[in-house]
Amino acid sequence: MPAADAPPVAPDQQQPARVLTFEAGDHHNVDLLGGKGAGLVRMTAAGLPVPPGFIITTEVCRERQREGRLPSDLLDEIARYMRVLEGRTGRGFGHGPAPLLVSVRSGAPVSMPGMMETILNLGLNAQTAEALARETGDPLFSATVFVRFMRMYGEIVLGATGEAVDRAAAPLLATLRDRPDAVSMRALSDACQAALREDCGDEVPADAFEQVAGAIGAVFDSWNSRRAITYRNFHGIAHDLGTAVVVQAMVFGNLGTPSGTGVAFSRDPLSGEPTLFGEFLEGGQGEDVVAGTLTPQKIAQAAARFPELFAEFEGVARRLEELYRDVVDIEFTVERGKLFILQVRSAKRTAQAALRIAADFLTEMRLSEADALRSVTLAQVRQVGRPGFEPAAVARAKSEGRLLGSGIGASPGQVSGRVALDPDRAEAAAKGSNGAGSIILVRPTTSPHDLHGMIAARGILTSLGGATSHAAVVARALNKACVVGCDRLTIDAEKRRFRLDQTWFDEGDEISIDGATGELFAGALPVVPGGASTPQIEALLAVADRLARCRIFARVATTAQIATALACGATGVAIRLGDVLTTSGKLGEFIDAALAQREGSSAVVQMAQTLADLLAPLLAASGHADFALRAVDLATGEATELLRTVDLFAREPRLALPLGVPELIEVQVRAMALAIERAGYGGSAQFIVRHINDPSEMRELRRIASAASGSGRAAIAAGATMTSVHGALLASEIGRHADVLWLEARSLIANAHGYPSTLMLTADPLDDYLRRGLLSADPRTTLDESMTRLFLSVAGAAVSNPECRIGIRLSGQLSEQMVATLFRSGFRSFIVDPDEVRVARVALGREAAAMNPANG
Amino acid sequence: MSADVSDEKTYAVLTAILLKKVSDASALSEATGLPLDDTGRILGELEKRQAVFSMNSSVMATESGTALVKEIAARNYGELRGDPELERWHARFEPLNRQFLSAVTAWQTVDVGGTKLSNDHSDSEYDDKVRSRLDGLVNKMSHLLEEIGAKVPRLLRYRDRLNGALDKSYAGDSRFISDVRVDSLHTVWFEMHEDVLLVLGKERTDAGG
Repeated sequence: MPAADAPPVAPDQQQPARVLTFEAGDHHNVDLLGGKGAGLVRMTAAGLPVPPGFIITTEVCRERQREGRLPSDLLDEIARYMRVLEGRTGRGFGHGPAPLLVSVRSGAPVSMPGMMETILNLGLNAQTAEALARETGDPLFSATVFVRFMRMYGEIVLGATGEAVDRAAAPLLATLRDRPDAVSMRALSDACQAALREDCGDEVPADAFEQVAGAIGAVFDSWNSRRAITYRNFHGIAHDLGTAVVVQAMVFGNLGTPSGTGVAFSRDPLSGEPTLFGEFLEGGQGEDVVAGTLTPQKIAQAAARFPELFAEFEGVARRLEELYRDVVDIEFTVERGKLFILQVRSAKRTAQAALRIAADFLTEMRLSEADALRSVTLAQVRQVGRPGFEPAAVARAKSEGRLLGSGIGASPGQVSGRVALDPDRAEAAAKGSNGAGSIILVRPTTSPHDLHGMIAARGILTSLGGATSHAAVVARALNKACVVGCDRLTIDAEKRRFRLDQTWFDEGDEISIDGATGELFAGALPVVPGGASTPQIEALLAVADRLARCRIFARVATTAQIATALACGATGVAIRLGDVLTTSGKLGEFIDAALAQREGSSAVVQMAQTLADLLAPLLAASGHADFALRAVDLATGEATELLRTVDLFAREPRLALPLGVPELIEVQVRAMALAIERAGYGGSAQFIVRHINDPSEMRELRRIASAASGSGRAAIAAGATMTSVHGALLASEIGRHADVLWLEARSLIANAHGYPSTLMLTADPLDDYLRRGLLSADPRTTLDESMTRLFLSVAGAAVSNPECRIGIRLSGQLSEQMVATLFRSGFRSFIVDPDEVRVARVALGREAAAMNPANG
Repeated sequence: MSADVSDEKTYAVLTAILLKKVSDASALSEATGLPLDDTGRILGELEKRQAVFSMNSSVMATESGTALVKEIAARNYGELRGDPELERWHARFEPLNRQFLSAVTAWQTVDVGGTKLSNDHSDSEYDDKVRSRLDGLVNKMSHLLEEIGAKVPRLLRYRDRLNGALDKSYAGDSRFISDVRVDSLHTVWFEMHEDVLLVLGKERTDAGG
């Protein structure tokens, strides 16, 4: 800034400054400048073209709170700074011929609700509006800006209802639209002021400085609004933190050529591609887009028209990315060929884009490995892996004419299901036992009466309503796929059928909907696990793997799931033999054999071939990946009902203990060995038994396993899953006899709390408990002191037995906090659900990077 | 005393059951603002008249209960229905309703380059703005409810419930904005909308709602 512009008073070191220009502030001092102010200071310091302005610091807010009024000399100070602005812009505040207009915004050090946001166009009154009309040659523009100012000032500072000004101004603006000279700004001002006096008994001060003082007062008042106070109390934010106020020169996109206004992302926020993405409205202001009076063009088109301007913009966008170390969205205005950056924020983006951008930033060396991994959320990783229609099947359906049409995609998700036209029947059908399950509720519109049906359905389709209809709002709250406003759909409720154009569908017919595109298809479409991966995503995941060096097992039951899990980067698979038996319908046979054992039957021994037949394809599908097989668990009932466990124990009480019937263990290991031979499996296999409680029990398990696995290629490691407090506390001793120890997080936590394991799966009861303060930490996501002690006891087994690997089974969606704690405790093997494999890779990589700053 | 179902309290309970589809005494007491004892007594009477039936502790309206609500509404509010003042009230409510739905949509989704994404609530500045918007709308709605409350005092309860939901959301439980499983702003607003339609004898148009 030229020395001549320097404000007369230099900021005192002892006394925090009251007012600072964007050039004078230190952007690290967010507490003094507020978030918005600090951002502007930072951009100014980086040489970016920001409209000039100054900041009234939080110090003034505190002073006002202490004294109960604005410091008496503040207005003089502001007047001095305003003169600086006048010099910078060549315009005059409160007078013509080129009036300077400013915006006033609040800017607290932290964002909070209830704060006044923005008043635009201060400095306007009847005379300056007239001057602006003359200067621009556009009275309608000047009038619109003037009305907008009075509406905002009236509403925010005077507490009037905004409509009052609008109502008064509407006929005058309409006249101006036809006859630009028909209405004077004085007449416009009088009409609006009269409406304000009528509405709230007060009017907008004509004096420009009084306007600024009023707006500053309103910002400080909003700091003490009831909502803001409640919010600060709740979040433990100090009440004397205070807010700053930003005063900034307005620039206009409709003054001269080239001019205009636009919004652009520094990269495509949908795909993540490194190209500018956005729109430019030539010769217009932001509100012209809303009003639809002008049509914006794509940035690429605009760049072709104004190559120099957009080359500059491209440079600014790159510079901003460096500054923010992130993709940004930029509001900008061009006034007479000069580019101004109005607002910059970290860009929102799709999950796909987030991963792509993280990977690209890593290759472009804009981010370290640790920061690149940190720049994506686990939810985004999860979202990218969300299941969807098989792309080939969608293409086929389209070529076969099964695309029925489209509505408005209101809540994303691709689902197929049978149609129900009534919420009660949807609920009944979804609960139905005949393999029904997936239901799509089809309604003209939905009301609160439909809620139970919407909850039961997988997807919702309505013929009426828009993206903000009840159906859309509720579907999003429920995270269900939803298409609304499909106006070609007619429902015949009586005959329980509906029509799309000429095609009739009966209730119970299958359809498919895409809640993102709004498309509808006849019939079901096959769904594939998501994760259309890209080289960029793979590169990012590879970094995570390299940092974390963990083994990640996916819990699977079929060969198809194995293929998917390995494609998602699982290093191993974990299979419960009980699941395999259940899905193949052989569980009954196995149980009968187990019971017959008592009578000296050799039925169990003969099961070996049957089991091997089931296991061989799974082993073959696993290639060289680790393969953990968990023994059938008859002791507790993950499938209690199916197994009629009580009945079982009455007949053979020994089944309640892990090694109660050793022949059962033997046959499972032998079958595994046979299957390994047959499949030519080349990885590392392990056999795991649940509920092991004692070192000698483990020693016996290892003896049985090693005897049964024979001497072939099949070296089968023997291990145990810790589910009890007793087992966990003795883990070091048990580990002495084990090749591998797994800790089953959910079971152990539930058992330690004395809760049924299923309780950990349901959200409501525990959520409610936590809210009522009856549990100090959420056992599903946080390890409190007692749980940490148990988990550390199991982790400690690795220290005392370096030969023994220690792993943990995490069910459901991974909690970042839990993964971090476990990784820090030394766990390096994880069994997770297949959907969570990529999530686990990122979460672990991130934690590894955090633990070792050398990676950062 | 035989149940006079046309009295305001009984009507309030029966409407609340209808709007909630499945409910229980304590939720109904919360929704109507009536003491739990009164709610229980009224439920007993309604059950005797077979307007509702209960299973375990849940209550639901029967078909005759549903018909009864419309019938009583027509009788009790019949006079109001032609009232031009109420028509004007409704004309002011409709745009507010659309703004409300659009604000809730903004809470749930963010616009990214023309595509709507679910709001992952990672941007507190954005969320705070939307919350302020909702706050303003609840404020306006409260005024509207005070106006109609002069004629139908029962509806004033929605003002308290809306502000209650808002307070809870400010106190950090964001479910109280649009979660359908709790008495969120959206849940209460929709019950209110349905209730108002019943009073005015209008059908849901679903231009936006």
